[in-house]
Amino acid sequence: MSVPISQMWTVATYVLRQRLAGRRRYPLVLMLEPLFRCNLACAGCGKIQYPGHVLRRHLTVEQCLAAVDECGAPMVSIPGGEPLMYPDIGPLVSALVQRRKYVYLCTNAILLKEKLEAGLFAPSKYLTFSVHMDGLREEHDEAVCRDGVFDQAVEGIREAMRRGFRVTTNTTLFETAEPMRVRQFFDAMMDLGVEGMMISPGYSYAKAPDQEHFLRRQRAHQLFRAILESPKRRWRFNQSPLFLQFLMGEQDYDCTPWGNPTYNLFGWQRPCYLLQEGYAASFRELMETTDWENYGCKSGNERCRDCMVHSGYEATAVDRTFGSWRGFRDTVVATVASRL
Amino acid sequence: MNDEPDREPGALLEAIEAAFDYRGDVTLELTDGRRLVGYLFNRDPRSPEPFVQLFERDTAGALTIPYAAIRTVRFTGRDMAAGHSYEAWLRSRQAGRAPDA
Ligand code: SF4
Repeated sequence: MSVPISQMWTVATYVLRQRLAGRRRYPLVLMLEPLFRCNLACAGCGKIQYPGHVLRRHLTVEQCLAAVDECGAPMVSIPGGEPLMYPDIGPLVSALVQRRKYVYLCTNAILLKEKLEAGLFAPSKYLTFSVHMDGLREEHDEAVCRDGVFDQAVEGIREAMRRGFRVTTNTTLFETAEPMRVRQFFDAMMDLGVEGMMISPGYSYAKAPDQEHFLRRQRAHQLFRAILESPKRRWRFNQSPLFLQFLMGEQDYDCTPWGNPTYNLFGWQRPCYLLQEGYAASFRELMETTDWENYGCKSGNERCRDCMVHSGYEATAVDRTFGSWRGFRDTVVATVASRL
Repeated sequence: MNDEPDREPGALLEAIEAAFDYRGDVTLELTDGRRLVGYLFNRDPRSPEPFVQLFERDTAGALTIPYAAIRTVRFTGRDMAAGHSYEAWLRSRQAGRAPDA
């Protein structure tokens, strides 16, 4: 695992505080979507299919910060849309860093070099660029439906690292993934020098253009076992080893949809980052009035049955790690013995 | 959708649910005769006074409208999720050229 000690400490003490306060449901990562606009239209993405006047809107920095303060999660992930297209991304990130939130700015990196050269960001242990990379050049350009994007992302990553920023990669895998190619991709990212990698199976968004290649649960376990069973010592993952074991079918977890609450133009999204069953006006309303028992793979909900995404299950793994001695021991064993 | 009012309670509820799921603009005809065109992004049938929320096409803020004020829902904008960008990209790739997304 490649998460810095200070970040791990922040998360561990936060989880323990929630446990000691007897809070069964608490947020871990706020998914803050300031806009839906994007400069790509990826085949597996169901996030951006809106009329033009909706795509032209965005949250204000004040709305974003009010959501961050109300939610209280120690980490803030900024997906979208493409957050580098958000006109106030610099001031937003700087205000979040001042609040000592660990920020993951999830970007396709097409605009990264340009924004870095414009001096929009300052390096900080609180700021990580999480660059969307779905594989080696051929696989990535196919996933994002445009040639040349892989090379642009690599250029952005190099520039960010040269300037002293933390950079990780974020990879979504679909049915078509070939384990050997994914392993070669991990090698390539380590050669590039990123801090760590995040992986997740894609979710079958009802609105995504490509409906054929989403992974079903058994197939996902097979695929992740083939990829991760003998991990190379040099691979570093910026996510919980227990979550990686869950992907391989070695941990039996249910989803924690409230772990990654989502705030966007429409409000607080119920119940999770992926499903859109309605919107609450406040975080409190979201937590108190969502029928949480209707979600997760064990709920019987059809739409949750095959879902194994990190925005649903990583919070479960983190809660296990820092919420019990057994979970902590399992994490240490997974890190040391399984090299995850 | 036809021009008949969706005033049967079941029909209106169904139309609102369909509009909530629709990734295009809709036109709401209200009982006071007004017409609102925009993106219906939320609805709450369980609230004491059930309501929908809509971004009007030409204005900045969001509007909240009670179910009781809605006469009909019509699907007047293009469904933005009905595109075929993946297939189109595959076709153009096979033809040796990728378009800008
Ligand atoms: S299982 Fe997946 S789709 Fe269902 S609530 Fe959890 S994250 Fe959302």
